[in-house]
Amino acid sequence: MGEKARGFDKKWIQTYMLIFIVIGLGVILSFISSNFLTVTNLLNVVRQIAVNGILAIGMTIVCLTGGIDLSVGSIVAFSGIIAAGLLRDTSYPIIVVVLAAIAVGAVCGLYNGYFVAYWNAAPFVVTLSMMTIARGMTYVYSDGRPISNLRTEFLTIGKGSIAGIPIPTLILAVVFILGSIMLTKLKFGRYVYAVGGNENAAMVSGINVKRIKMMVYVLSGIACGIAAIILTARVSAGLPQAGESYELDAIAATVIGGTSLSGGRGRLWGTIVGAILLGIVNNGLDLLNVSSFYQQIVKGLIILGAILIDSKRNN
Amino acid sequence: MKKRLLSMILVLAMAASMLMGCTTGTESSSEGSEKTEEKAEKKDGGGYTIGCTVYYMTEFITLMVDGMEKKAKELGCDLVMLDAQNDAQNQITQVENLIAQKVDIIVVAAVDSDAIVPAIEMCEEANIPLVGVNMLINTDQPYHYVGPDDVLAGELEMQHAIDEIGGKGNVVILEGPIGQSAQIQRLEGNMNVLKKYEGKVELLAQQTANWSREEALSLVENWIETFGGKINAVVAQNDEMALGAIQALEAAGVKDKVVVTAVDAIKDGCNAVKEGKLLGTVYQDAALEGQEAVQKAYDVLEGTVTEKKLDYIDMPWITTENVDDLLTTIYAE
Repeated sequence: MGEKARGFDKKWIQTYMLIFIVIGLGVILSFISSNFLTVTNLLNVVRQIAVNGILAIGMTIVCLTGGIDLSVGSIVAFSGIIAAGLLRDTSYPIIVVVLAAIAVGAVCGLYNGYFVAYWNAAPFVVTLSMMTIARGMTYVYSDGRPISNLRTEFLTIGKGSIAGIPIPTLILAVVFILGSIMLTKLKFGRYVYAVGGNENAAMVSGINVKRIKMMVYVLSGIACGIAAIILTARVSAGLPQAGESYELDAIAATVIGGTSLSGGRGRLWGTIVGAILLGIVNNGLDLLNVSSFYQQIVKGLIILGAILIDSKRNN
Repeated sequence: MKKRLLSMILVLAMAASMLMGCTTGTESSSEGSEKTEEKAEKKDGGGYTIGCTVYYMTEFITLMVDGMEKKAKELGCDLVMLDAQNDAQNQITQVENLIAQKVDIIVVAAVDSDAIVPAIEMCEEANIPLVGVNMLINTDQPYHYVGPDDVLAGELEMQHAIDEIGGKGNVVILEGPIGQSAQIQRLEGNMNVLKKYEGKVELLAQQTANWSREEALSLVENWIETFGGKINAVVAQNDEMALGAIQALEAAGVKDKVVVTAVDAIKDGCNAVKEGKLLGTVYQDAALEGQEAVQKAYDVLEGTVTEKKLDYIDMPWITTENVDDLLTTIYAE
């Protein structure tokens, strides 16, 4: 009984600690920078985390099965450059362009998923291969040049707002809600946790493990496509070098949010809070004029702290 | 219990590390806000806050930032310096953050000439002037800019290379990353000169080595394989690539027969000029560029500069004759 109570206590602290840290950080920042706690700035923060938040949601679902997706940054670049190319070369409506970008992401994800699931290849290596392939295809398609002068309606996705809330943030919210429903309300979600928790047990209990493993990479690819649309609209150009090292930020948000890289454990809302934490740190240190060199150190320490807590929890 | 204690300690350590990260900023920020208050009182006596985001802390940008800081201090202005780490989205984020911080003017060394365009609009909406530095912005609207005359640089390096080989022969060009303003303009300069020697000078090959010494090394190795002894001059759009080319030429034992020229005059480039391996390089004075950018920002705020136009800084040609001027001043130990 005592064991259980203690376990609960510990879990409670771990569950909400992240939120306390975020709030605490917010309070500290609003004391030392008069520009932090303003409506404009907070809207900036939630707009700025959209791309990483969406990628991190995909990453979290992949990590729940014990996998990892290193190709997200490159897929973002590839989907983004295709979207920009379509906007330049065709007069397709925006929705078609958006769906095309998402489809490109999904196909890249399918490649990852197929080889991870059906060839039993290591996710690290398969997604590493997709990472360079997608980057290469981006350069081939764009000839290494940015594609700019995109239509104004498209750019609205990046800078527009609905009811005062930036559109990227709204998209993030929708992706988060859909992801949460998938993981907590649908059978798919239970299977994802089961596969990550114990693959053999999942297989014995009749779950189509291979299909689940493939699906999560496709979902991550779709997330990349959505993120690519926002990114491209935000910078008003398709950039061949876009998204470089974004996989690391997505993994950071996932890990800070408490998702275990060995699979089976983690929650989407943790990932979102992780992304918010990284966003606030980034924004706050910018406002305080802290050199980017220190910013990287702070970010690294936060990630280390999160992973140490995670490994303690495992033991 | 022990585990719980440990995790608590970790949390504390984490919080402390974040706080430490913040304290560094606290002093400068409180200083900053004092200055801002002062500024409100004596708006015309300097004391402006200049926000700046640069593409990446390369050696060049570090020197430029030194120049900016020096000038800002001289003019009694505060400088908020952010590094976009080569991420175009991050740079847009930083412009947003600078606007939220209510700086008086924003100076931008763009990660990408296209991707920075939204920043112009954002600044207009926030009524904050913007000054481009080092990287051109891909827009039809006029804007304030201080930067290198890369077309001139491209002309200089090509002209000197062709002069050295006697006005006829074969050249190859090592380009910067395709699509960057420096690459486009330096190539334009290269081609301006080449056109004059049509029929006499042949362009054997042109390829990007992405400003990289390693990439240029293997590219030139391949060219030596392909063209054998036909190459008379290697025109590199920056020093790093020229140095890679020199390594490849030396390894193949043909360095004596091939002329190499470049742009930038970084320290390694100057040393190569002094050793006679590099015929010459165009000097882009990073510190001067930074100073001019801050001066322009100040003038815009003071209202002495109103016309939006591109200002170019001088780009001298560096050879064995004047290379010591650089090696004994900015590049002195």
